[in-house]
Amino acid sequence: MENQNDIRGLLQEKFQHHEANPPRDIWAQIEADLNPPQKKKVVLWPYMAVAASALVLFGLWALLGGPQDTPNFPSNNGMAETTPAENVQPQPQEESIPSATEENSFAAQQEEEGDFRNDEIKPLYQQASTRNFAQQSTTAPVEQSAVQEENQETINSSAAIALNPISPINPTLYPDAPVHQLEDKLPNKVESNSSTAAEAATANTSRLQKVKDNKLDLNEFSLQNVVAFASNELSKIAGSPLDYEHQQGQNAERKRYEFELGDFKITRTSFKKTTNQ
Amino acid sequence: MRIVGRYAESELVEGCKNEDPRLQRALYEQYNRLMYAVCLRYADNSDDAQDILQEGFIRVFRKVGTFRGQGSFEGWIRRIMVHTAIEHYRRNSRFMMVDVDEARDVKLDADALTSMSRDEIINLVNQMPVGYRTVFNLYAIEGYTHQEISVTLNISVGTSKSQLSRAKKILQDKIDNLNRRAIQG
Repeated sequence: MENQNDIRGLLQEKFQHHEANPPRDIWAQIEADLNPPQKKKVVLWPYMAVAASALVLFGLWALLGGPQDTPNFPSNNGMAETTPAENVQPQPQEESIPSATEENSFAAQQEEEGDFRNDEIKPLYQQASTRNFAQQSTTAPVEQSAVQEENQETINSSAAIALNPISPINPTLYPDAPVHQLEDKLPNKVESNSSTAAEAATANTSRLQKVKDNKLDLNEFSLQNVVAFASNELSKIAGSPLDYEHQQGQNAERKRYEFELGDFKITRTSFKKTTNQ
Repeated sequence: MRIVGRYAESELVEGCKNEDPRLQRALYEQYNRLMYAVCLRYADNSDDAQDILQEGFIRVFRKVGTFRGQGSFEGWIRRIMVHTAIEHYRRNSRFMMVDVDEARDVKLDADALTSMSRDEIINLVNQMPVGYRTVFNLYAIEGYTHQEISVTLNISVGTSKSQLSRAKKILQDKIDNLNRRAIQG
């Protein structure tokens, strides 16, 4: 028994610190086993979430009425698309206010254009009150001078929309064009789809009658027509507009007229040429 | 990157518990030669020894959290290697052991073993069948008792003793053959 214990001790001593070199690639295999390469997962849920969100938003949008026409007034840059000022022929003053004989042509044109005013444009005029243009014209300072007077004026009219920053109208483009000859430049022109030609003509006749009676309801006219109408009223006061360049170097009296239409304020500067006798 | 230098046992244990790759590598570098020698004693060949070494270290890294610091860390790793070797041969159905309670007292020639080198003894041990070799390694080199061997190998204590007797008998015969050849040569 003692011999056996000696042999155990002998062998344990011999092999206690016995070492052998394993191949070098063992660790790589161990490491690969400990940290297996993770398969790259294709994450689909973000794409699915985006698609679902887009679907929900589209559904809500469609549920709440779909596409709606919004006023898209042209910016100042957009005015380049309108008729240049040079191309606008000044109309005789007699034609500035449509006469009764022109009702038919006016009605016909309105019929062609259709009733393009819609509810979204109306708010622009809702604050505008009906003004008595005739009274305005009688109270306007018109001076009859003994001096040779030639009403030469240039148009420096502008329409300032007080509430709405969108100011697409440049009245200099249509300084004295009669209301019925103006072509509305509003981009979101809504074609009439309900009125018959007879109804449209009747409506336009009614509008013209209001104009003649100085009971203009701005809600019934497009923005351009309102501005043009105001410009014409100023023309009655200050005379026909002439080229401003013609006034250069001459002694001219400058007068400034303002014409207010609710939120619209139209100004015109009149130059009255004076010469010494 | 080869890590040079030795780490404190506690540092290695904590690092491996935290799955720190740097300390895992350090632990392997520190014990791989020692454990490979253990594997070579239990394995039939070097290929099996490498498989056992790899599997054993993976077990070490995965079970290091169960090490409670009772006993040496090296002894704990060595036990895992031994168990891994036993599992390896049991899994491959090569660990067959005849349950024989017959145990004859066989005495090894201590002088002969003393004069032999480690490689010569390993060479002789590896020539024995797996069952005998395993019991001999567990008892004579690892220091297991027959009770521990019976539990480890799931055999009876008598079988462990008989296997050890047969192993010693085979080993002594081989030593005698070597001595005879040496005298004749």
